[in-house]
Amino acid sequence: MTAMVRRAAAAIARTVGAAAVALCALSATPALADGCVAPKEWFSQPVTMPDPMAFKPDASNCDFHLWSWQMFLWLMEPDAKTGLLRFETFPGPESLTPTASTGVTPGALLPGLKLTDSKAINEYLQAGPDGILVDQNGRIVYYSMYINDVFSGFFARNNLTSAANILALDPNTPFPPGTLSLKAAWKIVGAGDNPAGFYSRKAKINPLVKKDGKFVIDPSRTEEVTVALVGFHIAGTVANHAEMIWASFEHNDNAPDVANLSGVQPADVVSERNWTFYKAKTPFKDCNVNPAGSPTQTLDEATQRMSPVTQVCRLYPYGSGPDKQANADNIKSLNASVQSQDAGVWKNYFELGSTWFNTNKSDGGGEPLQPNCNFQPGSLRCGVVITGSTHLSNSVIETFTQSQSTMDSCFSCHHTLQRFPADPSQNPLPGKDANISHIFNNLYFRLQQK
Amino acid sequence: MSSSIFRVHPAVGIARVGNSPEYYLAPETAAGEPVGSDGLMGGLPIKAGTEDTGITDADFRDADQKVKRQAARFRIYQYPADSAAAYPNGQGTEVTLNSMVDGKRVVDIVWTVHLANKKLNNYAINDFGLDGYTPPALPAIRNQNYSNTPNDLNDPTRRTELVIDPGPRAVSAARMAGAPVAFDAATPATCADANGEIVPVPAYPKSFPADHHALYEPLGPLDSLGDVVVEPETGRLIVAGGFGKTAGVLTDGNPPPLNEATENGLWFDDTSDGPVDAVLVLRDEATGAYSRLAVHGAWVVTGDPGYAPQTRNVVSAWDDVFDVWVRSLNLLPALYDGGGFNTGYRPSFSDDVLPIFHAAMLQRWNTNLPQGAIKAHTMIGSIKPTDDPTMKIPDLTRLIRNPNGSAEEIQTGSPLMPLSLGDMQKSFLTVSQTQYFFLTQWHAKAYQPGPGPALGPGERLDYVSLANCLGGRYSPGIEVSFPVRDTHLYATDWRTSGCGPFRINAKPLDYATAVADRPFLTAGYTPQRDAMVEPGDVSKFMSVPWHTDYNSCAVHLPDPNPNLPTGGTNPDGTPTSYPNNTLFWSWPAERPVQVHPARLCRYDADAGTWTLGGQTFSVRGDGTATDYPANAGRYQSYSDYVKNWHRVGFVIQGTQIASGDKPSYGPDLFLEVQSLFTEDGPLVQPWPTANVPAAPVAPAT
Repeated sequence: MTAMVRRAAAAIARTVGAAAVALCALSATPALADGCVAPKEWFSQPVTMPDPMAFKPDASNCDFHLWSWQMFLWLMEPDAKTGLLRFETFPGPESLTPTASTGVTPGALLPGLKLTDSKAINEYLQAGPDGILVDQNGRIVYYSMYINDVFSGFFARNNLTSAANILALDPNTPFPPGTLSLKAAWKIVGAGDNPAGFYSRKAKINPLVKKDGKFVIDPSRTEEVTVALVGFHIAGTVANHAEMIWASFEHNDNAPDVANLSGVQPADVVSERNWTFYKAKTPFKDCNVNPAGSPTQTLDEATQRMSPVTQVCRLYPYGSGPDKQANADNIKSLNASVQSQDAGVWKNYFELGSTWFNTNKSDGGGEPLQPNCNFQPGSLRCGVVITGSTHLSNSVIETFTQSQSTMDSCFSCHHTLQRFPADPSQNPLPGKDANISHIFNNLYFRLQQK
Repeated sequence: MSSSIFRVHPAVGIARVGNSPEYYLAPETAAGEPVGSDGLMGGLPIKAGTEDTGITDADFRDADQKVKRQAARFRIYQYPADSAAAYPNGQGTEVTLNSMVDGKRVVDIVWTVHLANKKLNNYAINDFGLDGYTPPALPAIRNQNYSNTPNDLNDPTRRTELVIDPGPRAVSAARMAGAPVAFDAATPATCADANGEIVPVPAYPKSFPADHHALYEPLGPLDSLGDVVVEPETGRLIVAGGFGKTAGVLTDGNPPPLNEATENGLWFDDTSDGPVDAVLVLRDEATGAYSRLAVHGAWVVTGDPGYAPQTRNVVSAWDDVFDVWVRSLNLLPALYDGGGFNTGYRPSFSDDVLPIFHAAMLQRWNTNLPQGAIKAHTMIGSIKPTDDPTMKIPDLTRLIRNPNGSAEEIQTGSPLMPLSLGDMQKSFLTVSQTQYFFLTQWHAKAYQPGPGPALGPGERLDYVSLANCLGGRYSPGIEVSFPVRDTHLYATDWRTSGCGPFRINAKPLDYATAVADRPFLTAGYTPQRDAMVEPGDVSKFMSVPWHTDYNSCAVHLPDPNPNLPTGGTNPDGTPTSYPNNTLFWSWPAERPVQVHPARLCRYDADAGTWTLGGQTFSVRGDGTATDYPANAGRYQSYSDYVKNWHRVGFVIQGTQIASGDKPSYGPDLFLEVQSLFTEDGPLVQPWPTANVPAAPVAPAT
């Protein structure tokens, strides 16, 4: 057992008991393909953070996926001081808001180590159209976000402590290389669930209530639960890629892939077996149904059971359409490479995909990040060429926006156009490079609150 | 001779079908415009028998749960003769029974209306709209080779057997107030002569489907296009249209197929249109002498039911009509002259800009917009004239689709607005060029915050009537279609004739020439040609029958589907392109797709507020379920919509909804009421939805 895996195992044992170390191989390890493989040193010594400045301008497709996996493994290493995984020691976006309610004082924008496991996990809405993912037990999936010191340093350096200052930020100010923002998806481990094979830990969550006709968290109450990591997003900048590399990971057992998406029929059974978020023999027509806003969506506040359960099916394995099978092959090769190694619990996770801008004009590339663009096909593409996993939706983080061509890329929502507020009394945020991060957008609106 | 001119308003009045003999009156306020200070929005129809009392939820149906028709109310206004060429005129005094005109008393108003339905003897709808009629081009005609006759719209057999024509009806305000006169076979055809006398036209060749065909009539006999009645006391005219019926011509005992969205061959319906003319009869109080005054006539059109009368279209029929009059008919040289907009023109925020923003804000009540989009639309709707435009919309060009934009821009969906579908080979809707100019002027701070030049009360009716109608996407539409963009549709000599702008180029009809058994009406108006407009020439561009179009127009893929480059390449080196599989609304304002039923709302006594329940489809229940999102929110069989159109509910502002023993729903909610569907399903998902799994190519039957 490698040092890395030993540390991970220790963390797991601390939180969910010794049984959790009995890792569950959920699928046969595929044969390694030639080409895109993980360096063996990742599994023989502590993984280092990929150097953002060393990222080559002519990086290959494989290089981006190597960055993704290396960053994932680095973030998943246990922290020596706390026993938490490294990413769990990062602060959340609330640390950027200098208000009393967040416990952060103005000028304290450079966070030190912040133990986020003491804070209740309270995000529950997926990005996009109001979706709430409900597991087979009727419990909702929670989300937590994290940023690194380069991210917060960007705010400190640019003095982004007020809405006025954010408004005044030069639109052509990208996040510097090394910026990271992360999102983790957590399934509540129920009485009948076996957490073996997952990274899991104790956590506090805020329960859900229905208020003013909407489902919202109740910040006044917490519930202590065991949560298992089922999905993970890494968005990070490297040299020449201010748009960020958007990498997405999932647990192997989350959901089945839909075979032959272009020809699938409503009654087609997607998988004969149970998955974490899919009941065996569920037909395709019942996959990824989003009942938000429908009278059929109900919540038992006492038991925190929500109905209906979401049956999750993955529409684009490896985030790749037919034109991106070479990309998919690299991911599959790299995943197999990791899974063939002594990677501990992380063998049970896989890179779903990563996407970025192809800025290498000698290789069909286009323009770099710029303000006031949505980068999508159409008049606001601004000459950008999105590449890698161009249909990337994590099945447990973007469950309900997998099918729509207008929503199935990270850059569909993470663009640099102007942003409009949720509160009609507030002003929109003009288009800026930094709008690529919703944390940046949301801070602008939060700082406008009276 | 009078020193005044007289005009009937609105220039184009809008009636709507219903299966009840009862009616309410067309709104005389514009949807999306604030009315009064209590938050009430315009567009509310008016209770029958009242001057301006808005309807409530109880007024959509009669005691038998039948849908009341919307009747168009016409009035006559007097203008100084020397103001004939002005627009806006700003003046206008209503002339009613017993009004004094030039010292003489109005002792009668004799109205003549002529409704007809020519849909089955017209050109078929195509994807090119008005462009499909650019001479010498003409689209294919409907019902080709009908009864082995030539494919000529002027063929007498076609004009007889494919046209519903009850002939004219005249009514006297002095002698017939309150007595409806029907456009049916039994009621004699009459017209007013120049002396204001009602003259029988016994030879008029009336034509109803049953006169010529064995019929399948699932909703009962199609035997009337509606009725006219004089409003007691005032002498105004009320025109109520058809009853939502349809009749298929039987062949070998079978009705024709009803499988297409808009072109179903030999299916009649009872929508209609035609001229509304009037003669004023005056008596000199001193001498007792009688005189007559001619009035410039108007037009009435009967369209689909008004299922959401207060939801303004982002692009209304008014916006299209106004645009063609501004850019092609020299309506307002200060605004547009010499082939371009005058950048010195300062539009009114309240008149020219705010209605667009309010329309955007209101779309949520008929659609499944997600919360983020609702909030953004609400922000747009809350923009005030005192706000700095650039603080509210930092970059207008990246929010509003430029109607003069590149082909690529026209094919670009989100984030460009309006995010509903376009027509005439435009994948997405654009505001009119005049609307876009107004928006850009506002954004450049070249606007006036308050109202613009005042419309006269009659001119305001012209505006309101069309502002409450669908524009932008004439596929073919709800009330009127693409010919409203055609200058040939209008009387363009209005400055010299005195008729005022926006008038249909009505063909003079000499009923003395009517001959029994010979069709009176001809092929009539053809877009981009000079033939004048006859009864039936406006509604004939609508769907055959209207029911299938309404049912179909829930959500669709963009058409043409964008074929935009992504910048990438396929393994074979070809450019990757972008088939957009997202589903967009056809007519989000007037054809509600997803609604909030009032009965699902809950009152929170502690907070003293109403909260919304979930959304349902407006068209729902048995026969609407589908495994294909592209077919959601409609009957899967068109014939089921024909049978059930009257069951669909209506969306109305909360202030107008009875709330029992609880406080009012208030002005901020627009809720579905009076639906006869008892189920909630099928389930509504928030937008965007996608055509996955892909709907079968074959049309639903």
